[in-house]
Amino acid sequence: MTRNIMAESILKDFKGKMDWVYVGKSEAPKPKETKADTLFNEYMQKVFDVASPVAKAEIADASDIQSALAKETVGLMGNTVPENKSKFVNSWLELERKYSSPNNDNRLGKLLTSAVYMAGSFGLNYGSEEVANRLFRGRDAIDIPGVHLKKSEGDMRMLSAGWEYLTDYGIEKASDRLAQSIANREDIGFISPLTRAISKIGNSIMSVTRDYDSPSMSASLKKSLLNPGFIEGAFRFAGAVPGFGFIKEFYGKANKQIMKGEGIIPLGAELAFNMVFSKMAYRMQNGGAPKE
Amino acid sequence: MAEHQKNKHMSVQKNTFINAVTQSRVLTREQKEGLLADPQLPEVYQVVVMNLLSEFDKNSKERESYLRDKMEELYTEFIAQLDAEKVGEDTKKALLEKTKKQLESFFPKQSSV
Repeated sequence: MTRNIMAESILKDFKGKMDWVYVGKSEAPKPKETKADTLFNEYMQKVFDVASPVAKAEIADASDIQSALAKETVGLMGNTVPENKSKFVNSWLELERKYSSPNNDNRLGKLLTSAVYMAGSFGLNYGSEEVANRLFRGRDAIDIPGVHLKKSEGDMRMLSAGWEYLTDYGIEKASDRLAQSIANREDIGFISPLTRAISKIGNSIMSVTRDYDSPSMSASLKKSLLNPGFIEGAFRFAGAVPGFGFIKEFYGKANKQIMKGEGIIPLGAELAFNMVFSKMAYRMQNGGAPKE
Repeated sequence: MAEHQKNKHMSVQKNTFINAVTQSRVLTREQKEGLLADPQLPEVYQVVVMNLLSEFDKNSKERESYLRDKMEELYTEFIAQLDAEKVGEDTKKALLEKTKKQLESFFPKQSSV
C-alpha cells in the first residue's frame, strides 16, 4: 500500500527515534552529551510537540474519509449487485478495516474467529450427516405419506443430494446470521461467492460419486468438510496466517471475478437441478432407465 | 447544441474526477488505479468522491502549510540558539544538515498513479 500521507512519514520518523535502545553491559560508557546535543534534543522535542498533533489530526481525517469512501462504494455496489453480494462486500470491507489496519493487525482475532466458524460448521454438518444416515441412507425403500421412494429408482440418492444441499444452505444462512449478530449489523454477511461456488460444485460431484448405499463415518467426515461455513472459515483462517497473504489476494480476486459474472439462480431451481441430476446419474451408473 | 453542451460538461467532469483521484493525498495507489480503471462510474458517485477527496486535500494542505511555518520558526530559533552558544561551525553544519533532512522527510513528494 503506497500512500503519501504527511502524518505517516512523521510518525515513522519519530518511531525511529523512540525505538532507540542501548545494547550491552550496564557499565558500558554512556556517550558524552555536548551542549550542541542538548540543544538538538530540545529542538527535536519541540518539533515533535508541534508535529505530533498535526500527524494525529491527519490520520483521523484520513480514516474518516476512507470510511466515507467505503460507504459510498458499498452503496454503489449495492445498487448494481444483488443483496447477498453487497452483504459480502460489506463484510469483506469490514474485516479488511478491522484486521488489516497497520496499527491493529489482529491476526489472532481473525484466526480464532475463523476457527470457531470452521468447528461450528463442521459439527453442524456432521450432525446432519448422522441424521441422514439413520433416516434413509442404506435403506431400500421408504414411505413418506403420499410418496413411495425406492433405492432402485435412484430416489435415495436424490433425497441425499437434496438433504445435503439444504444442510449447506442452512449452514450458509446460519453463518451469515451469526456474523450479523456478532457485529450487530444487518448489512453484512459471512459466506463469499467463491465459497458458495466451491461448495455447490463439490456437492454436485459428491452426489454422483459418493456411495450412499453403505454409509460410513469416514464419508460423513469428508462430507462435513465440504460446507460453506467450513470452506469460508478455512479461507479466512489461511489468509490470516503470516506468510500466506497470497491466499487472501487470490480469495479477493476470485470473489471479485465471480461477482462480476455470477448469474442468479433461485434456490428452488438449484435444489431441483441437484436432485434430478443425482437421480439421473444413479440411473446411468446402474444400466440406464429402470425397468417398470 | 444541447447534446454538445452535455458532452462538454461530462468531459470536463471526467477530467476533474481524474485529476482529483490522481492528485489525491489520501488514496492508496491501488485505490487510485481501481477508481480510474472503471469508466462507467455513475456521475453522482464521481461527484461525491471528488468532494470527499477535495475536502481532505484542502485540510491536508492547510495542515502542511501550518506545519511548514512552525518548522521554519523552530529552525530559525534553533540556529539562533546554536549561535548564542557559540557551537563550532562543523558541528553546527552537521546538525543543521541532519535537521534539514529530518524536516524534508515530513513532507513526502506527492506521486500520481
